[in-house]
Amino acid sequence: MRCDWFKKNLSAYIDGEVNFLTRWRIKRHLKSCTDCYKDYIRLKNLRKISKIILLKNPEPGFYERLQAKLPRLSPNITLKKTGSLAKFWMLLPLPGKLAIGGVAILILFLLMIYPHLSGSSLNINKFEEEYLRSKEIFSVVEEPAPPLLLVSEER
Amino acid sequence: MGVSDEVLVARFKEGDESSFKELVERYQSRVYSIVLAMLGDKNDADDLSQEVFLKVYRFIHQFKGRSKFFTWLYRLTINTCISARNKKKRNNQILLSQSLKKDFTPIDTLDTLQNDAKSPIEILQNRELEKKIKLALDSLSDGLKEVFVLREIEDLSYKQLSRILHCPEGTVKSRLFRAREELKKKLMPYIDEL
Repeated sequence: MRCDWFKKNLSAYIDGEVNFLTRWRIKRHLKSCTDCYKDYIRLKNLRKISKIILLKNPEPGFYERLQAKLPRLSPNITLKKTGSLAKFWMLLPLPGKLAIGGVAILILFLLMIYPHLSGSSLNINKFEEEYLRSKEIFSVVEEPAPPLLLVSEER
Repeated sequence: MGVSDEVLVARFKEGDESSFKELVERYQSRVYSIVLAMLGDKNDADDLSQEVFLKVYRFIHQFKGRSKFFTWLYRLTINTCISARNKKKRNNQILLSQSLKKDFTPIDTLDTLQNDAKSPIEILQNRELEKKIKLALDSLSDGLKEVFVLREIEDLSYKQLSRILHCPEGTVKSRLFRAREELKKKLMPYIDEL
C-alpha cells in the first residue's frame, strides 16, 4: 500500500515535477526500499533509451525540399512584401538599431542646435568686441547742447 | 545567444523569409522526431514534418503570440499526426491491421537479442532492438504516446504539456505514468540490463 503511492509518484519525481515534501519523502523511501529503488532505476533507463531512440534528424536538405513546395502556396499567403531597407532594419540586432539611432541624434544635434550655440554664447571674444565698440560709440558721440532761449518773464 | 523565436516570428510576419528558414532549421529535428515517433514510418515522417512547416508558413498570421511559438508548433505537429493517422486508418483499415499483426512480435520473447548485446551502447546500437522499442511505443494509445514523446524529446514541463495537449496537469501526470508503466513492462528485460 505504501509502495503503491511511491511507485505512482516515481514518474513525476524523475521529471522533477513533485513538491519539496513529496521529493523528500520519495528520496527517503528509495534509500530503504530496494524494490522501489529498482523501479526507479528502470524508469531512468527507460528515459535514457527513449531519448536516444526518439531523437532523430531528417534527411539532409530538408529546407530545400520544403522550399520547393512553398511557391505553390503563394495565393494563400498574406505576408507583406518589404523593401530591402526595411528588411535590413528588421534583421539588424537591437544594439545595431540603438547605435544607428544615437548617430542620427548626434548628427541632428550638430546640424540644428550646435550652430546657434557657437554663434552667440560660445564666441566670447566676438561678443566682448561688439560690446566694447558699442560703448565706445556712445561715449564719443556727444550731441551739442541745445541753445539757450532766454525768455523774459516780464512782459 | 541566437535570436528568440518571438523575434523570428515577428520578422517572418513582416515578410522576412530568412526568419522562416531559421525557424525551420531550429525545429526540424524535433518536429521530425515527434512525427516519426507518432507514425513510425520514415517516409511519412519526412512528408508530414514538411506539411507541418507548410502549415506554419500558411497560418503564421493566426499565431497571435499569446503562447510560446513552440507550444503552437507542437500542437500543430500533434494535430497533423493525428489527422494523418486517422486518414490512413480510414483509407486502409484492413490492410493496416493485417500488417501490424504480421510485424508485431512480443518483446518479452526476444531473448536472443538480449543475450547478444553486452553493454548499454551495444544494446542501443542493435538495430533490431531499436525496432522493438519502437514497436513498444507504437502499441501505446495516441493519448499516451503524444505525452510521452513530447516529454522525452523536448523535456517539456507538465504545465507546458498541459497547454499543448489542452488537458489538466493531473491528466498529463497520470498519462505519463501509464505510458511509462506500459513501456516498462514491455521492455523490462532490456532496461534491467542497462
